[in-house]
Amino acid sequence: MSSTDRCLPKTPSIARIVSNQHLSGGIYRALLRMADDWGPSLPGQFVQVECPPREAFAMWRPFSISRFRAERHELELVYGVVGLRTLRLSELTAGEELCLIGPLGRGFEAVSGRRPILIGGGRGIAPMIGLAERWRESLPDGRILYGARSRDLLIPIDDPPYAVWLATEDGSAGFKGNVIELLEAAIARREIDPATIALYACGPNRMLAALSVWAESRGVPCLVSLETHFGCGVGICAGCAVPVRPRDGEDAFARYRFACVEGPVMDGTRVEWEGVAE
Amino acid sequence: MSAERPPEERVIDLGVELGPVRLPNPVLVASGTFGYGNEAVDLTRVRALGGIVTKTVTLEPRSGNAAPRLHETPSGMINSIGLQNVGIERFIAVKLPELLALGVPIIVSIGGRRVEEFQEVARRLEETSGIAALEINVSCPNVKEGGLEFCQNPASAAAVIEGVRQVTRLALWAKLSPNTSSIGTLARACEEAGADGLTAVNTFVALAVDIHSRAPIIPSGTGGLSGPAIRPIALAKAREVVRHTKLPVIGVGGIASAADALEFLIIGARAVQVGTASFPRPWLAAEVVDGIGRFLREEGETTLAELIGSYRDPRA
Repeated sequence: MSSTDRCLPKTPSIARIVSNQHLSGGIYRALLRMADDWGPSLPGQFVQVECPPREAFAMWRPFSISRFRAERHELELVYGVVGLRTLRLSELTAGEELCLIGPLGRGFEAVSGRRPILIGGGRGIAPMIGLAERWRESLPDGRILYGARSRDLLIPIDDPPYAVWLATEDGSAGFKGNVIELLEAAIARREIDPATIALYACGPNRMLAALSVWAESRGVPCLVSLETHFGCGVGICAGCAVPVRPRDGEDAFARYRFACVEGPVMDGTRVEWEGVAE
Repeated sequence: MSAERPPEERVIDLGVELGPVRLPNPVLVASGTFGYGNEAVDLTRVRALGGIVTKTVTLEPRSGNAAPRLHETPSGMINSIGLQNVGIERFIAVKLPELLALGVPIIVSIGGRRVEEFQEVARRLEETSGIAALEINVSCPNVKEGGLEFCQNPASAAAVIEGVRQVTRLALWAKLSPNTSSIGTLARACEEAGADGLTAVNTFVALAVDIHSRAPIIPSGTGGLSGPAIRPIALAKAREVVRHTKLPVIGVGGIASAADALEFLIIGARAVQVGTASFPRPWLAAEVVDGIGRFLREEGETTLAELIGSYRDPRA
């Protein structure tokens, strides 16, 4: 672990909502104005957010950082309404405030010498766009593969830093199929050479599992941003354990890694996916 | 008449003695809810704490239970971590020196499947220096190989305490399970076996079911319920323990504010532990310390001792 990929904040932060916009389906985008000294952050890192209503006790919720515009002190979170707390979050309006801790965890780092293929499933596309913006200059030949169930669940992408290849499961937009089939098709057309690429992915665990299995069989590096049940987000509860195959020489007891501090970005080819909740 | 300082400036010594253990104040963080103890120091004023109880350490490393290990419930959560830890050898070599450097009393929680395992862990810790006390986890509901037996049965809990007492001079706190028919009997058994303090209580056995798959949400089945949902029951259990023993009691269960902690102190707990509430707010225990001091000043109390056990028990 390098010193840059895990930056623990010193205190919780107050974030003021600039906008909180519905994108599609149950997906929203919150733009938050942070304190002047907040950040920096890496795509793939997350924030732990106190979702409304404020109570004496409620678990905070982890959200992937889609973007952080340091010059404007603006943090962007793209999130899905999956329960009561995210529903309440979606009802907040400009000017209201949230308490959060972050940036937390390990973000994406480029595998050197490999062409980046960024893969986003559903709302998981948002951090991949942020990552592409970051790598646009240094790794200009990247591609984005964007998978969604159908056209009406797509999130608009303005000015994508890399070319975006789209796949929908029902074929209502772009390629008909999933992102792995899209990837295979690109390889068949020789637009992608598996010997020279690395995969970076965010999305449903089911997609990450399938991608990781595919990547391992092809010998392709595959970094995924995992979602699991987080109790604290800062490494004190041991709740967000992800089973990982130990490397030779590593202790068997080290099988469970904490997604919050040893992730959420992990080597997908080492994760024991059958032990990860969907 | 001497000029009194206004109440807001009066400094009240929050120091507390629990048998052989002296703490700078009565607020600790509970085992398993603050990592080993130094993971979240950037998020709190760690030096403000009365003490840190480490996650439970066992003889051999343990990988812990399958995921998901947590499930949020109204005002609480069910957990089944399974005592994931690095084992005593690595704990002593790597973690303990880091913890002792924090400058806060360190209480090491120890666990095991058999009396001999508890003894061996205690023996290794006896050889170190700087530990304030051992908290003996005879009550983890999530370790199936014998742990449950310890928690329900006063005789087996006492056997563990007695066995550990033989191998160490360190102060011993027994962490009691509420999942027993008489916690008073359990408390007395641990007292007679040589405990120096009693931590009351551990989590309550609890279950949540996925209505679609019809399976338990936590793969191992039941887990331990913690958080404010259990506080009033934990408080009643802690009071039972206070009534049945002369040992100092460390109250724990759902504390999420200074007022919550004060309830435990008033019913006679000499100290308290903040547990699950540290997950969303790792800085909460330090705020509880401040809140207790503020309350004492406002109430015109001059010492913490005046507050502890000031409960007006209708049964007394």
